[in-house]
Amino acid sequence: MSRRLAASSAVVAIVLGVLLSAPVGETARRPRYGGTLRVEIGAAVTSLDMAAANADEGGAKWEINSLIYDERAADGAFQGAGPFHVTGFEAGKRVALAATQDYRLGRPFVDAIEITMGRAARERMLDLELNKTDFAEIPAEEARRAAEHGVRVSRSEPDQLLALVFTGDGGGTRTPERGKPAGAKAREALALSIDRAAIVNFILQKEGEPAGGLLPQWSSGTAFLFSTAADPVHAKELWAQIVPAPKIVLGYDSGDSLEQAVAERIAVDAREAGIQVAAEGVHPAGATAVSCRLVRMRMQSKQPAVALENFIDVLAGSTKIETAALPAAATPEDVYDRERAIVSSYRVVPLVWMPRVYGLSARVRDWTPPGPGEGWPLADVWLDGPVDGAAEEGKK
Amino acid sequence: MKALGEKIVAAVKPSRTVSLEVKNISSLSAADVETIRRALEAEVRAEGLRMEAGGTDVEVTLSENFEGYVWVAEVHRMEAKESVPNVAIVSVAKSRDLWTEKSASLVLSKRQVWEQAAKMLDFAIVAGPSTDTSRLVILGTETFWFYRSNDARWELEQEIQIPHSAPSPRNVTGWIDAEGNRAYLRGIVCSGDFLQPKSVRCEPSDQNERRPQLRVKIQGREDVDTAVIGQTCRQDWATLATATTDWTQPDFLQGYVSQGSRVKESGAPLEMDGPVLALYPTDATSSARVIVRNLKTGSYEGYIVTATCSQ
Repeated sequence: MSRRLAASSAVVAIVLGVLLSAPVGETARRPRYGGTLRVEIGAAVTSLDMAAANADEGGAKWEINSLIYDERAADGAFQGAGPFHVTGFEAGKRVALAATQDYRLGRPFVDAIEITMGRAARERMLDLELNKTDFAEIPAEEARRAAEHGVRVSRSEPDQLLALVFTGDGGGTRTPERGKPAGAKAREALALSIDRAAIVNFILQKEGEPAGGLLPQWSSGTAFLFSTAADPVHAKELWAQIVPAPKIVLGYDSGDSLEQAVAERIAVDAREAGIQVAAEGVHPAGATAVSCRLVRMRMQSKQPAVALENFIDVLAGSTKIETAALPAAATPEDVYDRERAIVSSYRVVPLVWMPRVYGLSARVRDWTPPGPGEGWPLADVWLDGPVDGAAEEGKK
Repeated sequence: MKALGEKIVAAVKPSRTVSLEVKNISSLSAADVETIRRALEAEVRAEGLRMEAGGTDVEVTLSENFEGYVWVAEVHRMEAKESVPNVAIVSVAKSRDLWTEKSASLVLSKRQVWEQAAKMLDFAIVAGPSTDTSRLVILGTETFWFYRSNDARWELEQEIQIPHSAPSPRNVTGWIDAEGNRAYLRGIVCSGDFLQPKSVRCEPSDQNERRPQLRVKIQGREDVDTAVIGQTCRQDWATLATATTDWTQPDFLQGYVSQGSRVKESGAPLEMDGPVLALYPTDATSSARVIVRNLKTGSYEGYIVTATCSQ
């Protein structure tokens, strides 16, 4: 105890009627150790090897790896012992993780995580309602319904962009009967015909926000500079100038009900502007020729310049956009100019920003939704109330 | 303000008149917006432009992102054919003194001393014989950092890796006794002359890492963290206390003063951008060291919170 404190403590105890207590004890809002966190995911992960990732299980595999590895190297590879280690794995069915006692940043609060794989969204929601699981990701469009059914819902900042991307040189390789590549005017006409607010309000059940640019407002602060309003009159005028009018084939992931609903809505909006659009379900890894397709892109950083660079890298593989790197110390104007240049080409048409939505059981405490590029912070989560084999703080 | 003013002047050239409109879509208050508008107009005038209706339209939007304010000027030049306006953008840090109290009571203000991505358990400024010999010491979970004052900036002078003989708990705590030239965290004591960082050693120890401190019982808020910070208002003892929220919510600090045997709330709360992870009285009267995890940026921030008496 310092001299100052020692000298003053008795006086304070009398004057304030305070309780002199050293050290200060743990309080109820402080974490406790122990218990098994039950997690359900939709993907059926067949291997934890990131090199063997496929489109269906890549995201889930990444999340699991972020729990068992400490950090990512510059090339994105996972490395170092993480907060949890694998104690059991049944391909496509379950993963069992245990807390790493000597983890560099401190032992996680929970003793173990039990991940059940291959649970459909409906099953995850039901299990959350019945308290059969503690943590599960919920499709954004189902968040409202989940909350209405008493599920505790947590949302990230909207960091997942759903965009329309025109393939190749505007039309990609396609057979003559699928029409000519969509030129700049056709792309602009289609972009102007889309009612983004309706997609957010009706399909996403107000879970998200219309996107006009490639960065959300919370990240860049400049998203308001990009219009999200539909202009069917101008779209019709532009389309009328194109002779002969092409037929646009809009591809969406045939296994994704949200993408299907959005694609069909876009086709309806387009038809109202006189634009011929056919929505067609395609396999994500397939080579079906389409004029454009719906693409989901997740931000990899909350920093606007980093997030935009990453989007450009992703988009460069499927469409023609300017790919020169941003300056090393990019100013907000550099970022905005690059974003404006890409959006103005109409090769990428931002549609909506969606949050990641999670359902939590009542006993999960100190959960904070991860930011862009971050894994589930389950090492920081603790379980309230009685937990099996629970040990209070200090259990090692 | 100057940067945005200069950018507006450059963007409107060769026009010498502007029509300025300021719009707020950020969390700034109406009073702040009015202050900014006046300052911006003064800046533009100082650059030699006249404010006139019918001048080049300049629309300034006070926006914000997760890091701070973003002020955007859209310049609609009449002679330009393109529909997209010329855009100038400046990033502005958020004010550190966000609140002042007008009634007679405790007024809390905060001054950010440090911010870093790595977890920070405590910090202290160790005053040397002169300003440029002062040190800022930061205690992390794995590293003990020493920064030296240089031209009003802190420059890293030395970092000491903290040995761990046993695994740390997730919610490890630690604190710095600047007067005693010691820092404590679970099972480790770092000691030496903090003004001579090379003399500091971190070694395993049986000493308790928790800081001995006075604990104030506030009726209805028994679970919160508190720090008694000394006599402030009319010789009353002042105490700071956190909110009752958990670590997923922004926190606030509330001031309390003693009145007889009662502890009474005083003044308005001071809002923080995240949970308060540690709250310790400083060696100076009426202030506390506060560690906050900013929920927007994810950074750990160290503040000195000072209580003054507003009469």
